[in-house]
Amino acid sequence: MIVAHGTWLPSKHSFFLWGETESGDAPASLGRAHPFQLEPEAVTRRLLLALTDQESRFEERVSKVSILLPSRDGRPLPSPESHHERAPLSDVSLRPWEIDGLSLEPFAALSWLALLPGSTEQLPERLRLGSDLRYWSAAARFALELLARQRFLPVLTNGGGSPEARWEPFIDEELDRVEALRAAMPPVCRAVFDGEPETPDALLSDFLCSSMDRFVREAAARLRLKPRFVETDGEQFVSSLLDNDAWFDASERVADALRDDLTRWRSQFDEEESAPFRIAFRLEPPAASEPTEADLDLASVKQGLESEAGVAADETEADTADDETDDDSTEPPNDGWELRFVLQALDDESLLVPLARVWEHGGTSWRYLERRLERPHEFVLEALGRAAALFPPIEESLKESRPEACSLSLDEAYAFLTEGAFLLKESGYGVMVPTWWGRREHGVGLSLSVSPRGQGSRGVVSRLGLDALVEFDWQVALGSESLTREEFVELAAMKQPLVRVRGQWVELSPARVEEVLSAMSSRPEIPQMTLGDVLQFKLGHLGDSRLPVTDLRATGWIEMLLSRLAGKQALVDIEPPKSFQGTLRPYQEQGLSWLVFLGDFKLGACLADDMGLGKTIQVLALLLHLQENQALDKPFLLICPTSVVGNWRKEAERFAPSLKVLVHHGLDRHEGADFVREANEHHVVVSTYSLVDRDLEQLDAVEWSALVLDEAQNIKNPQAKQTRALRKLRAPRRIALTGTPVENRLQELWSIMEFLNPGYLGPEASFRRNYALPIERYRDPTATEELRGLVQPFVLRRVKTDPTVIRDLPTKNEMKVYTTLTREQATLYQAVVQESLLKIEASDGIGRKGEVLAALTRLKQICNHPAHYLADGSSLPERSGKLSRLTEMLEEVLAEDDRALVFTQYAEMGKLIVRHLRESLSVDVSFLHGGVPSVERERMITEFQEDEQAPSIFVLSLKAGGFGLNLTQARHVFHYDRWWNPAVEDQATDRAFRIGQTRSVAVYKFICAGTIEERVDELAERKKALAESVIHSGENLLTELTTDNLRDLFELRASAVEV
Amino acid sequence: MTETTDEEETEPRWWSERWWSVMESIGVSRRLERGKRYARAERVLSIEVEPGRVVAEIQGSRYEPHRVEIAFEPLTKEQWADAVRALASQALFSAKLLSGEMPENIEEAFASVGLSLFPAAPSDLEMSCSCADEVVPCKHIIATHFVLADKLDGDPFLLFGWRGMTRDQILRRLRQYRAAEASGRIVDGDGNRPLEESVRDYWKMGESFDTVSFAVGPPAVNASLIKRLGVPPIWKPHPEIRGSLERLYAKVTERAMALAYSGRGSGERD
Repeated sequence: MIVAHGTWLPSKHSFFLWGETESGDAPASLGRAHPFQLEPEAVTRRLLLALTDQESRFEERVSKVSILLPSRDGRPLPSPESHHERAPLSDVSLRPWEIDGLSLEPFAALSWLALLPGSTEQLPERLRLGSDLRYWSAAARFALELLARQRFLPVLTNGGGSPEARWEPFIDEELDRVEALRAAMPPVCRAVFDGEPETPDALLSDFLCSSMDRFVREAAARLRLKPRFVETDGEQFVSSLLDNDAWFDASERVADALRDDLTRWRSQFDEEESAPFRIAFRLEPPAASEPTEADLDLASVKQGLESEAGVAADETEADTADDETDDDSTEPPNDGWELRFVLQALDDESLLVPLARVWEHGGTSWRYLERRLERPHEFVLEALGRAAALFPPIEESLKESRPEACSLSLDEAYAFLTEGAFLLKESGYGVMVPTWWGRREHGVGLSLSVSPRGQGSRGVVSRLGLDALVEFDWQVALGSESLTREEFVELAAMKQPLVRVRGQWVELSPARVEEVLSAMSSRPEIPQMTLGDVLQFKLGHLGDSRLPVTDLRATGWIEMLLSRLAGKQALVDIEPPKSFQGTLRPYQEQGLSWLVFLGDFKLGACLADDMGLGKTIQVLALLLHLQENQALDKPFLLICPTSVVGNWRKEAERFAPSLKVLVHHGLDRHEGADFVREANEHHVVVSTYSLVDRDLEQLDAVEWSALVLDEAQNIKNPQAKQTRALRKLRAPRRIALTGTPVENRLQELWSIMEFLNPGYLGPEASFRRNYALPIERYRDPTATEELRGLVQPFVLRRVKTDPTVIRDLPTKNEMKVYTTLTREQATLYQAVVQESLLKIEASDGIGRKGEVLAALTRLKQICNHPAHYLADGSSLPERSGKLSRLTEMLEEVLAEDDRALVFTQYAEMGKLIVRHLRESLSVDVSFLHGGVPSVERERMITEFQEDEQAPSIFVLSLKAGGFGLNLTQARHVFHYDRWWNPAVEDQATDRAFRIGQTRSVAVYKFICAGTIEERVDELAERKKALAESVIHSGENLLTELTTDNLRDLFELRASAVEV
Repeated sequence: MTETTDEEETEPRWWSERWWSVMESIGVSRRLERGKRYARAERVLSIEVEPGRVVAEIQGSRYEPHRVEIAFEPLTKEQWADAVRALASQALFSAKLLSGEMPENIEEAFASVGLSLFPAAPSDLEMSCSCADEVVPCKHIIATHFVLADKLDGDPFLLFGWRGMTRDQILRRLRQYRAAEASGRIVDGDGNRPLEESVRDYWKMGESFDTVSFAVGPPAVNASLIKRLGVPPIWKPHPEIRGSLERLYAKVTERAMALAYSGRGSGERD
């Protein structure tokens, strides 16, 4: 694991980047060099170039910096991101360590930091970003926002004694975020050992100032703005602002005067509202009875519409005035728009006072409703004077002695709406614009009406899919009015930015008109669009670059589909299938209805319920529902990870025994035509991800009624072979099951949606540009909201904490998890069975009993992990079905931000689990076993219960009953291996369970399918009904069995093994 | 600067001392008996401190009360800007003002920018009364001074109000100033915990981190800061600079947007 670190060095005007490597067994060091750091050359290669894909070359310099780090016993402590075992913080002190790294100049630092990956899943393997680097990345993004939004101004600073011209951020409404960033700075950012540590404020400011200043200069360099001659002070100042050298070459007197000038200039906005009022501007359109140029022409264009009722006034006026627009007219027409000036109370913005009231009053002090305004005339005139500089048409009115309003031409009114209003508002004035302004539905665009024409009557509309074409009608809409094509073209030719349609004003912005015109010319006479397009318009963002849509209406079943997808109309309840063995919980019934609904429309569904809520059961119920309705004429293909094949088979046996399940994996799987025939004789074919690509041809030869992906996060990489292979398979129903919150993993979300509903989220590149990037990099709330709207109809996710779900769940929700053996496990297992049976046969009495127990232990160890049995310290990944499954499930626990306990009987296995989880999940894991001293045990328990930063996974290898452990923070309990003694297991489970608690604890009991574990479990279940007491003796009972019975018990059954 | 001793609790605060020294210079001694008498007799019906003037109504012998006005030129906006800048140079000023105290060396801060908070010369105060008394100051004015001095002793910030700004306004401007400085260079002490005390949270991001989101997009109106402020005075002789600035701001947006949305959005790993 490498952790990338870095911080800003104000004294060197550069960003220092370095890498922390595995601490390993680095010896205690009396020297000054940090003992586990990346070589500068490796920093360039593995961090600087690997983390972003910028084309620009960096001019990095190697440099050495001393950083204070918490240290103990002559070693710096590793940072938390390196996921080493957490050390207690006693005896830790700060010590400077020399670190070699790279210096980036401010511009490069800004570009590099801003583009760092926004989520962990995008990082290269075994590389993490330290919190310091993530912090500076956020700071860089902030700088980028300030730049993009042009929040910077020139200043004259006194850098190192000589005056320097600089661009500095202008912070105003951003102050809250500056404070939030300042407060969030991790202390390590300030730890450069170079005199006194900087304050967070100073450090952040210096970074923002330096990087933004550089960025503006870089932009300026592309414009060639520099004055040709530098003679005057003004030219000198410009030149210093644009040059690489910021030095302002002028006398001290000039510099001082300029500095004061600039401060005053910049603080114009700090004008204090000492008065209880401010001036506000209200834009008033011409009265409806006054015809204006803008609606006259429209009237002549819109004869058809004018004949409708309720427009008599307009109509008569329209007939009398008939002059055409005269674009060449030099005299701006008085279009009757008015900008009215009023006083607005600061403490109550609805309190508006006409200026006439002020003018009437002659005194030096004017009172109005408890508010007092000093020298009201001067106050108003001064405010209007400043406003005139921001919106020049105001100036004309100031020629009057008592201005109350100014009249505007239509173009001036438009300028006010698009620019003046903004400038005035930013400068502290009140601004009131008509309500129709800026509202999309009041603008111009296409109004679509989609109808299910040609698709026949109700009932036969199923099986459509998002690529189904539907016909639609469109019209140009102006606000709520529709226009014919001719009317619109004529209207557009007028080139008026604002028009009035029957008393209602509408913006006709030139860009928008252009879009509509081009959409009109590119549309065929009877246009069609896909159902997917309809959904996108309706659920996402109305209108995009392809079609400027302002409104979409649907009729018939399309309307029904849309309103059900949008959650506005309830789904048809589906009765739980009669052949289902067991009871569906209410939320599971809803899940079934939802799966049936989407599938009927050939829409892909992602069932993303929390782990433990029964996704498997809901899919089995769907199968039975189809079977009972004679709709299961073709088989389901279910793809899952190898580790859960056994679980699917067992669950189907238990809940849906009427289903014929074919497990297609292992070396003896069917091939070719054989496979096609076999598949068609079963209801479900269960296969694995690893086989999809290999067996694609024969999988594709079968006609499937549905394609189900379990643990769909397996296709999170859209480019991976198996993902692409899966997208090639055809099936009318597509279902993805996942327990991870997909909405936070955007690449995974796209990939899963692309499988479910191809094309719906657009090509990957545009998805990345429109959603992934703004959300991951900038936490963009608009993009987040829009994406949620698009995806929400296709993702059903219930969490354990939903009140409705809690009501349906038992407080202790026990589940058996069946896993599969790897080939290695199976081989070992069979060898041990043979060997043990021979030994057992050859012994008797106590000796025989001992041999049986030893055999049991060995087999259980093999089921746990080959390395557990072999005790050879060999590698862990991919060798145990159980461990793989545990890891997958814990990954979901972590994704849900939950905590889990993992129990095993064996301390040795506990150690292996901990090692594996640390390495593969990159998280710290607590481990409690018999050898842990009681003080340490107390600390771990308290930490788990109370410290949010403590490891979320707690592995325990002890009979936990007698210890009084209180671990109620855990919501998941895993029994990695079985005691075969319910009392012991229950005691362990109850660590996480408190009487009277309202939330539910999920308990997972791991069982290797086809092995002794499954057999004993069955035995125990059967006996349980007869006499609980028998079970208590657990393993002892087994020692009494005959060798033949034992053979039967031990023997490995088919389909226990993976490929 | 005069120092008051702590033992005498009833003794007026430094600013009262300072104010009385001004009074003495215009011939109003605090030992003036008729002044005391007038003030004590509660003949002063009302007194209001407004920007630039203090207005009081005094009950004389006639039915109609006399109107006293003490005018003191308020500071101009520019002068206040200078004063606030001087005050912002030391966090101590903000701290004292926030706690309701008049900082003792505030006069130095004003003096450093060539201003005076208190009247520098007797002629700075212009006093008038509606009574027929020829003597200035008349007894009504003297009474007003006594009451005013008493009020100032309790609330020294009335002096700010008189000069054109309330304490709250000054505090707000100081805060704005600090905001500007947050983007600039002035350092302020808060949040500066010694590193030794942060060992436990050495790598920890503050909670506020998760609240920050970014809106990287073009502004509603190009170069709006320049449009609002106009160009700095130094560029007045160069009208072409305004256009250059507008182009520069547009270019910065263009380049920032290009950078902001470049690169990988979601992880294709190489």
